[in-house]
Amino acid sequence: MISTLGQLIVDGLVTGFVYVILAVGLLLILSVSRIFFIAYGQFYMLGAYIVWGSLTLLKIPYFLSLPVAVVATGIVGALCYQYIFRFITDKDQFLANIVAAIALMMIMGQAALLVFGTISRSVPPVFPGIISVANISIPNEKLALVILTLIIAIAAFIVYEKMKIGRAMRAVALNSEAATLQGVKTGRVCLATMAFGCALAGFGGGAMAPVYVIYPEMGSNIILSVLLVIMLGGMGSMVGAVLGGLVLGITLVFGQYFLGSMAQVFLFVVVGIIIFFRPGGLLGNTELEV
Amino acid sequence: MATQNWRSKKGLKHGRLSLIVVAVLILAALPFVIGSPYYVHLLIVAGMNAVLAMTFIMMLRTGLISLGIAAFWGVGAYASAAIVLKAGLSFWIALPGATIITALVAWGIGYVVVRNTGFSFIILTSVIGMVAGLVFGNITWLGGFPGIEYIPPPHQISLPFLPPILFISKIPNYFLMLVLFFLVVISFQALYTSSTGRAWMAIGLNPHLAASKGVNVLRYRLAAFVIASAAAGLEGSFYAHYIGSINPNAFNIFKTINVQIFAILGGVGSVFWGPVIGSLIMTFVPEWLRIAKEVEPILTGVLLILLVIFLPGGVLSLVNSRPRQWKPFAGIARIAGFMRKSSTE
Amino acid sequence: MSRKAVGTILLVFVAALCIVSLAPRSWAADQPTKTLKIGLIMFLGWDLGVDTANGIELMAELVNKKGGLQVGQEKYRVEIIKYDSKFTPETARAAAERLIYQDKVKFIIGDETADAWVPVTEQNKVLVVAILPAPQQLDPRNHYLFNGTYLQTQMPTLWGWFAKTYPQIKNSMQVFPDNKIGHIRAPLAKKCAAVFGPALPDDYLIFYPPEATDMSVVGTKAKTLKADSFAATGGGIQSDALGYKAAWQAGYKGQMWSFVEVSEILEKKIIPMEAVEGMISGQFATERDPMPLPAKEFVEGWTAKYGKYEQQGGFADMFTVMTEGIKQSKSIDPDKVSDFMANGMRFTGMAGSAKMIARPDVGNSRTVDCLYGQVMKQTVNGKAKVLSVLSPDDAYVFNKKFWGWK
Repeated sequence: MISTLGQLIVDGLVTGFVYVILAVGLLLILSVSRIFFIAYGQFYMLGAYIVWGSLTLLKIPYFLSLPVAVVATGIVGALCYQYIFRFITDKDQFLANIVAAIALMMIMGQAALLVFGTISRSVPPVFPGIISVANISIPNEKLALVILTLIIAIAAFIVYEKMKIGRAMRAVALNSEAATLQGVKTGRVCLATMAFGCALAGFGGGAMAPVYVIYPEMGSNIILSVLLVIMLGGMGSMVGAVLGGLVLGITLVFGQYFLGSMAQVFLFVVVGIIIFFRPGGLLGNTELEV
Repeated sequence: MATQNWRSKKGLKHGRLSLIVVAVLILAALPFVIGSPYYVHLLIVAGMNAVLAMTFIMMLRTGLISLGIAAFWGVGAYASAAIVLKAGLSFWIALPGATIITALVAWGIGYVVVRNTGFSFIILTSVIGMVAGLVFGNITWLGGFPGIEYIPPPHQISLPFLPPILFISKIPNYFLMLVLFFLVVISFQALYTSSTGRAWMAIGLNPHLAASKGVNVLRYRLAAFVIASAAAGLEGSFYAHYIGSINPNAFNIFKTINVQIFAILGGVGSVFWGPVIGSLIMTFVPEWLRIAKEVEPILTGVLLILLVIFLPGGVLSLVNSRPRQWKPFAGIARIAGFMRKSSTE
Repeated sequence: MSRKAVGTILLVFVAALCIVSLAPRSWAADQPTKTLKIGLIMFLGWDLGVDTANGIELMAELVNKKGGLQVGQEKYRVEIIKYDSKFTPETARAAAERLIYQDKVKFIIGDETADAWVPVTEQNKVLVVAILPAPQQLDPRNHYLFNGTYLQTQMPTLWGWFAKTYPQIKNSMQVFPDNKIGHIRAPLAKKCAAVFGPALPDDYLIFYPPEATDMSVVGTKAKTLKADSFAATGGGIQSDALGYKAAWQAGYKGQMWSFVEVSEILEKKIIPMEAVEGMISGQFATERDPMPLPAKEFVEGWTAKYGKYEQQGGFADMFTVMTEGIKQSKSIDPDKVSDFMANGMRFTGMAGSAKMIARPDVGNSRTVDCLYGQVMKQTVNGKAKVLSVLSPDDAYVFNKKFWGWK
């Protein structure tokens, strides 16, 4: 029983990590450029397909394909900002940018289906094998995924907290008018944030490609969970996003194991209760009225 | 001076009245002119969606962005189907019955949820929206995941001296939709111009100020939530009996998001013009674009983006006739501002 | 140009679109030969739907290449009118209304959204062949609705065969997605276990969130329960494959099987070879050796048009069911076709010989469901080894026992 519980916890953490990197990226975009970027999942999908394409069509080895995917998705993200969202980031146009994000999601989803076709694509496993400790087993590739994600998440932290561009991002996130007055080029910062956030999504997709399957709907399937993680962890907090991801993973895994069919409902109930008692999320602000 | 004002007011009123009468006549004649039942169907669905968009706006005005609209639409549909199929009653009892049931459910849920403001309200209602389909699916008594089939159309209305009105062909259903639509428009308009409406406006502009002036923010918001959800339930009942079958797939969060797009596209400043226009655009354009088959979502998406970039206030922002009494985005700006502010890390 | 100006122009354009779409449109141009229009309502936003739609359109082309569909003395050119169902009842319903009232079709092939539009096809006497996974959809009140897939009859056949051939397997663990399809299949699986064995205890029945990427819980459960056999179905190719992979990664050592077809090509891409070794499942017609003739022609046609044939799944054979009904009844009158099909029609589809059967378990004495023969295989040394070939009559025996027909 102990080993089952242990296995479940490990499974939950691993599952949760899948969402963490995406939550961090989306959170950045949400808080800095205030775009309700529901199309974010599609960049995750894009990253996976680019890795696949680069690997199978261009014969570029996996560890080079991954950066290719990251850069490519970052560029696409920047383009989306430049040609779509830049025009509607006014706070009066908040509703408008929700619609734009939804429309973008529709476009990218269908485009992916048409371009990449209907056959499931797969990337050969990069880290085959399974580790087993005390009757708890983790496939090597998932362990690698967790470690890789952790590294990138820490890197994102460092950029956001320590580096100059990160400081600019935080300034814009706090109060964009004041930031402008301080000489921060808000538009440029938002562009950079979008590129960075989408690049993170691309990394997520590329990292996940050998572990799971690549298919066109993977983006729209995952975005709701990512939003849930952000809500759980709190709107403004990166650490919260990590925490939210882990909580989500563990709740889902335990729910699935013990409750079977009601797992999804259970998850939502848990999230609902947490939000109800801590409206700002686990680590967010409790005071909501501005 | 006073007489002049009164006369011009009356003139204005007459003008508006005749406009309304003309509009009603046109709408009544429309299905006969169009001919094809397909377009009448689209109009029926568009009309229903317009009402749903109106409910979104009602809650929006008090600062609540609800992502649970489809859930209450579903409650109405299931309640109505259950009343007719399980209790064996007539549709004309099920219609108000379902509305009342939805209102009660909304009251129960709203009582808990409306306390949370701004962003957490969005989250909670989105949870409701996501869960609703699962809940409906797990209730086997209500058909479970496969849903309920063979929901009868509204029972016939017998009129003296005239043949009974059967609801089998499109046209009677169209008029039913129209009747329900005007019912909702008139009651909403009445509410907006009443003291309740003024309270809502005050809350939407600045909840703290309203509270300090003695307005019970929670109670009015709850009222908006319940009334809006009840209207959604009303349309749900109509939907169930018009389509003839329902299953949980129809009541998911994507439906709510679609409804919001209708409202936003049209412009959230008005009671019903905005929703009607947005609903018409989003119903007819994708249907026309069916020629493009697989490419259609891309085209619709591009169109949406263009519309939203160039007309961010919705279609109605083109028509700036009267100075608006309500700044539609005050409440939303707050939420947007909150999102910015809470990133203190 | 100001934003408002552009916006106005855009709006005028959109309004023009709406008004244009209101104008009556006549597709009925003068055709040199007689045309039979068949509507197609399919979800074009996911792989299964796109494959099915492409498959059906291909089959129509192949028929037309041979001169058309033979209906009695006449030959008809087949025209497929395809609309996206977007898997939402509202869009699917609008598609059906358009097909019936604008395009004036009398025959529709449809997907699982059928519930939403069968009321209007029944009202207008339009013959429908659709993907119907749930028994209650074969309600006898529907007069023009037929199951175009063997989703409901395949499970008892394969399950029954598996239980009979491997009596040493005492229990099984079943994994389904937590959505509509999963909740339709799960009770049927329970019933199979009760009727045929192996046993399916309640906690051996696992559901996973349908959009989940990670199946580690499935693996953990597989490892803990140590069931004799394990099957993951109903989630589509990707999810099912991930289910098997997770079980294997967790160290599950029992017999993996499936009561649907599992594709050699595709599964190998997703699951490592060692995991698939020894898996018992149905075999797709297009992977059989030899292929049934319709399947062979289909694959040749597909390869000629698209290059390689790698898709599996897809329900393109619904086209065969529909056209066989029309051809054999020698009529394009939906009433006549319906009565003929409901009277025990036999035909050869992509998956081999088939016949229409009645479903007395839902009170339907008309033959509205499809029964095909099935082929069972096992993956040995990475290759498919045929274990058994079942004819439709063999399949009938299993189904009769399962549904409790007299």
